[in-house]
Amino acid sequence: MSSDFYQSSILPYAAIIIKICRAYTNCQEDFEDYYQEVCLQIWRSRERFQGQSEWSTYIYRLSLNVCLTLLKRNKRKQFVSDYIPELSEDSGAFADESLNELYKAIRQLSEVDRAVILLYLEEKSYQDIAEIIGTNPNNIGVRISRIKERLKKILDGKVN
Amino acid sequence: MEKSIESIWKEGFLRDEALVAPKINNLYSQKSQQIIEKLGRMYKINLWSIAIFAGLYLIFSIWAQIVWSGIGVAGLLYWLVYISMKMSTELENLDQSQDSYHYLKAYDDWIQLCFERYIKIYRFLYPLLIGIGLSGMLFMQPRPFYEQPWVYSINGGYEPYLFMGLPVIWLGAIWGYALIFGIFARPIYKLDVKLIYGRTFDKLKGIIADMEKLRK
Repeated sequence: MSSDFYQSSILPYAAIIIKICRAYTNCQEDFEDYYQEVCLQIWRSRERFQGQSEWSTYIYRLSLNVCLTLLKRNKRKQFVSDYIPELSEDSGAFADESLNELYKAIRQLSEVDRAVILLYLEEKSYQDIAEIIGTNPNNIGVRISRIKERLKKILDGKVN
Repeated sequence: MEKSIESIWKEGFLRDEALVAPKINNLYSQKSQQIIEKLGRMYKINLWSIAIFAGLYLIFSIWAQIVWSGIGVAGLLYWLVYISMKMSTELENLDQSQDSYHYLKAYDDWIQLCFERYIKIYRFLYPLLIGIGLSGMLFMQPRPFYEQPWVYSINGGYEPYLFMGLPVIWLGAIWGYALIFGIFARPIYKLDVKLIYGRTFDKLKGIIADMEKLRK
């Protein structure tokens, strides 16, 4: 990957990739692997981008797809080893404790719900969320309300 | 809960250090490791399969009273396993401390080298295995099913043309057939390798090609 491409087309959107990768990983090592894989896939599929959506939307979609694929692959590995290291503070967790708690709660959601709430928190419109995930925009609002309810319960300690 | 999840999200990310991108380096290290491990596993399984088959054939040959064929085939196969294991120890000499690209290139070069060596080996091994194996089949006498060698029992009492007590036409046909395998050892071995390792080799080539693009 040329340094120019990384600097101009990926780095300005690194925040998106980081936020998504953090939601799908439990340790720093996995996070870095996911981040690198997403960057690699963006670089690989750069020629497929036809400008029909914004570049940032394209990155959201690609990041989510890569994370979901890696998650599936890693789940298969988990049958062999059930060890999932916790994200510790010195291994790259966020400095803000509330944010860490929120991430922990998000990680308890299903893969799709994680994607929906991440996009919602990034202030994407229902239309964009539906487009990125490939669902019907009519159901997004209800889904988000349910996810938020669940997140609140998890954060309040009502749900394990 | 005091704050809404929206405000936790927004405020949490206001700190710059929350979004420091990891350094992109050694991009393919994990992939390289995975593919090398996979090839290593496949190679081991392949060698084990050959060794097990050789053992089974030896047992069969004792039962079928063609021990000479069993020893011949099993001996050749065990020799092949030994040579293959010896070749695989060369992998230990590859410098694993080098970057993924150079390591994969070195690994690929080793595969190509092995491929050429195996062609030379199979040029003799294919005819010998087929010749000894099929000749053995001619003389097998698995009791209680056959009271005399199989070649004399075809169609209930067939008598082949014998020269010095050997069914020379049958043997000639078998060794002629075996010779064809020796002549076409390269394409046959290529097909053999493609069937077993094809997809993994393609992946390895794909990774190397990708890395070459990345290096530009």
